[in-house]
Amino acid sequence: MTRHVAWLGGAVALGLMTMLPAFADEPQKGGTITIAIAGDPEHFDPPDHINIGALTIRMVHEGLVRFKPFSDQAEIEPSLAESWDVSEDGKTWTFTLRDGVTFHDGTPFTSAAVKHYFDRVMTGEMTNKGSPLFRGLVESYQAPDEQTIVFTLSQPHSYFLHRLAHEASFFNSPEAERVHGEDFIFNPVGTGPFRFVEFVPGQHVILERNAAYWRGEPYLDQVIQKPVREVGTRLLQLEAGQLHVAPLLSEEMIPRLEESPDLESVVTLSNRAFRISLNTTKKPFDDIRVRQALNYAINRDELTEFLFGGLAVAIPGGLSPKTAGFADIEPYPYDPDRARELLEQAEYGDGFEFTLTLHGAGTIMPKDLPLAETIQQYLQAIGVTMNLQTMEWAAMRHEGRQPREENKLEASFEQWPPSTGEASWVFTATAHTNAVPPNGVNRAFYSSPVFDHLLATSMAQRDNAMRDEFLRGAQLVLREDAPWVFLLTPSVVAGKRSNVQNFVFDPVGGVSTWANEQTWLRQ
Amino acid sequence: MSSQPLLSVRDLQTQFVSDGRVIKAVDGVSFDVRPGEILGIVGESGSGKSVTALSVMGLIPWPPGRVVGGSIMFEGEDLRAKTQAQMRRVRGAGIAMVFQEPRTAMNPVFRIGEQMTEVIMLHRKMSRAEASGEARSMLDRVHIAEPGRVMSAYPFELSGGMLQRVMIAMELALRPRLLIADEPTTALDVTIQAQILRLIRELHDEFDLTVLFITHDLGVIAQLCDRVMVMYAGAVVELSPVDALFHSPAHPYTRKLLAAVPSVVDTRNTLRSIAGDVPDLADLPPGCRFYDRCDLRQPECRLAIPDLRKVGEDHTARCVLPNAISP
Amino acid sequence: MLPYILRRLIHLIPVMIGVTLCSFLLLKLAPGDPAEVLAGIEANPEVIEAIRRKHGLDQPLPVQYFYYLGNLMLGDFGKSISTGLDVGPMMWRALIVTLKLSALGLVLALVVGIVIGAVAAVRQNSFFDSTSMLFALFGAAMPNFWLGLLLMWTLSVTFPIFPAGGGTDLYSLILPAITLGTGAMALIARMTRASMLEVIRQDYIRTAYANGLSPPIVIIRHALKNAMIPISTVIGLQFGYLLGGSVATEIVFAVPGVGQLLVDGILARDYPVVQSTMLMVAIIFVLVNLITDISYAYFDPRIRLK
Repeated sequence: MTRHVAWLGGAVALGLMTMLPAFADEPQKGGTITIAIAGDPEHFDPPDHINIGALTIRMVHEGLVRFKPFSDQAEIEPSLAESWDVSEDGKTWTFTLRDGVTFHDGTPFTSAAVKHYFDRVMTGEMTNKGSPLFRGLVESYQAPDEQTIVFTLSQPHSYFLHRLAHEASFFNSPEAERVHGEDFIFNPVGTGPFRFVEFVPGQHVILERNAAYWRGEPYLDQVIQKPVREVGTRLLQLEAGQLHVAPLLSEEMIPRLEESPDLESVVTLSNRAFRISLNTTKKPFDDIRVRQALNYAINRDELTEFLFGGLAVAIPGGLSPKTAGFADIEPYPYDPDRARELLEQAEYGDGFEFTLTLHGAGTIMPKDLPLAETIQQYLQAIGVTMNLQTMEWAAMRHEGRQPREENKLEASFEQWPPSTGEASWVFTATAHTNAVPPNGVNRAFYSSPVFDHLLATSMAQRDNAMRDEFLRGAQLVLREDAPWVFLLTPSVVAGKRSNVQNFVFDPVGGVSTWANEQTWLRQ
Repeated sequence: MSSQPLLSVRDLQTQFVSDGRVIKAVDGVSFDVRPGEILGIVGESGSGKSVTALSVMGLIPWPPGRVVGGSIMFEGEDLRAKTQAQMRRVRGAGIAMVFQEPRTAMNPVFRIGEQMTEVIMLHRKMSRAEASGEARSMLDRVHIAEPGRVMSAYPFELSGGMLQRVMIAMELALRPRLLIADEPTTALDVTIQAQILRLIRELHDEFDLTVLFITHDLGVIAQLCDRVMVMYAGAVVELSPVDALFHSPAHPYTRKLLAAVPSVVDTRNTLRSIAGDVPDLADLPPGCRFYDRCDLRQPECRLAIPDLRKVGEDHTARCVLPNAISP
Repeated sequence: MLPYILRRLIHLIPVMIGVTLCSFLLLKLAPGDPAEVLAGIEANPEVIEAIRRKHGLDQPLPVQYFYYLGNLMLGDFGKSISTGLDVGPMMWRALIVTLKLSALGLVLALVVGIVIGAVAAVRQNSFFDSTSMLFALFGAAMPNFWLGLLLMWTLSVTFPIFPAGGGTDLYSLILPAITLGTGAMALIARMTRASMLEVIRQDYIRTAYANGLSPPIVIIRHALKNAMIPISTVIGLQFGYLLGGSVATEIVFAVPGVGQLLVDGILARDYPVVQSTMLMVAIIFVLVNLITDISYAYFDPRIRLK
């Protein structure tokens, strides 16, 4: 008899125990989360945003579609648009807007708000960022009724939805803009899970729960952003409990985060594709064999293993694996013999010398200086001397923008993180013939009609599979032509306190992190 | 007048350490200061006069100096046995001291009135207003014409002579029983010197003040003092009433000192000085310290330091042949 | 005294012109301009040009400079190119924080430095003397940045006594003030020691003891006031160094002061912010030195009355 009781008791206890995690993980309402930001937000006007203000925009505003949070790929899902239809020719897009959504000021979200946005972006002075996303692409737009918006594109575009998912396409309340006048850029009113409370420069940005949020009431009471410029300070404040989330930390901090029971590290692959851009208008980089030789000379596996602690990935071309349209082609193998062979053929058997320009402080491109120094050694092994020139960020950008005749950069460290999460945004700006400085950032002055054609064709596809095929072709061409020395994609390291649940880390691989309606704090 | 000496110093020894050498600045000095008298201490630089005074006050700084032996009895109490707190009550109110250079003796960043009031309040238990009044009246007593103006002045605004009067006023406001004046007129010019000496005489008479007056100037001794103590190389060589010193100096050193004073009737063209140098205080000879410079030296003088011998009424000298006529 | 003060104030005018001109020219000499920075990494030339036009950056240099100077006379510090906000309010807010921090740093440096220096002088050649002077040397040599992080790690994380930066209230400013003031504290300690050693040898100190005053009174009242005379000449300069040195400290402790404002402004080539802030810092520095020179007379009446 007692044995049966014991078994029963044991079973009940076991059953209860398995239910415990479920209880423990039940989201709790309430609490305030503090996030570190890298400086003061510039302002909060979605089409005109820069970097830091974007974080607030992601929590306060919304667009027609969004990138699915908590996903590894840049997947698009509906947001303020419930559904959409595309015409046969791919040029007419009809979006059905969600009903019953209101802005934080109580005004309803309708197609008028969308029209208001596009009126602003498509006309007037091009001083804002939203315009490059849509100018030349959207020919016209109509709002036949309050729940419908129709776009007519100049040509089919396979990544139109990605453009709409970018936070520069998010909508601000037209009524609020009327009420606040010029100051509306500091008084953002959106439809998102959090509403804007205040911004005190140098001190904080405070957001609070939007109880009427259409996806459901958020758990958190408040989200506070505090500017902390120094990376060491971010970690210390996280440890001291002054911060809940500290983005933009470095790999060396991971063991310390793992050791502490209160903290966790969050490592995600980024959307950055590090490369060295070689100026093909300057000798010896005008010779394809030389460029290929440099690519063979580098041991990417060693770099990712030792310099980045295994947290980086070697890339075959100019894209991060997280970017839509990334083709899984073979990266250049490590083959110094082949490299030397190619140099011989190009009549540079005795080697040559050139200068690599980089920022050097590790802030824009983490670990850029150690990376450059390691590459120096690989190149030295094949007889090539690479000199390093560090330059301040604004100065470097200025030099890079100079047109062909005046451009003095021989080689520079580059990366182009696509905030739209897709390949065309990268290639159009960095590899297309039209993108040579000063028009764009094609600092290699690379011009391949084949590449341009493949890229344009891919963008005009309606079918995603076809699009990816053409992009694959373009990437193969790029790899062959080697205007760049392809390197790697690093990971982004952030730290958070263990009791923060469901915090969103940028699905397109950017450095941003934010809270949404599902984020909660275990008290 | 009681017969008990006010200050009784016996066998005082004070030494300084420098570069590993021990300098015996005061080596076995004994004397009494009788109540109501003005005792002068005369001697050349380095004879130990100031060090004696500072030793009595307990103001020898360590490092590098220390009182290593002897007793200092003031009003029947051994000062060397007192704690620092007890000595602070003696300094100023029991024994007050006036120093040689009046211009640097007062704090340059405080007004005269503040400095006087501070010490008066400390020792005489008065309120600030009372102390201020007392200071003013003392300034008046030392013949300062505008006490109010002087009280609110800073030291740098006053002349040397004026400042020395102020110092005297400040010390006397504390009602000390003994006033030690360490060469108070040496830094002043002759006319002012005469005024100060007259003032000290006055105050001595009025306040029944006992004075220990240190100087190198025999003329001042003659003017002011009742008794004289002559010091040489850290020791007392002669102790005498003032008239006796000038009429019948006993110690060879004293006689040479007197002879060296230029006189109006003197027909010589050169100053008479004493040949030779003071011995090195870190390396003293075993016998009489004046041996090398003495005309009357005997072989026995080199063997041991002579005691103070009586040579007259209340008159002693440290010599084996006092009163001997030089050849 | 009054004509002296007026003369010194008139000297401010060439200083103001010089500072604004220098900030303007230096920033212009650096390659890159705010339009490029503002436009962001994904911008094309048309956007950059439009931004330039909007902020008058396409005008010739002298025009830009005199336009700024003209507005300055009317009390208008211009608008930040990065945010479009008025420079005036953001600058005053930052200045107040930095002034608070620098003042706190100076007070700590003075209090700790003077006490250490005075005790070291009174106990010359003792254990305290040698160790405290060594400690002072250390303090002067340590870089603010490193010291700041070290203090944060020990006193905010390991032993959570102070906040790890971020605030502008007095409690949050203590660690940054210590960081900032350590260099000045070292200098003040050494100077106080040297000055005190001089002073305690003086005759008037002997007089004070001879009159029965106790050592604490003699040292603190009689000696220290004299010893302060040379130190008061240095205080003004030290405050200036503290104002300038606050940049690294502010970044480490996330204090929203002038340091951060200037760093952001320079990196973004935000001329109005940089020029106006540099100007205010320079004016404050000149005024503080003027006050110091006047206060010197408080310590030394000989200066006052001659």
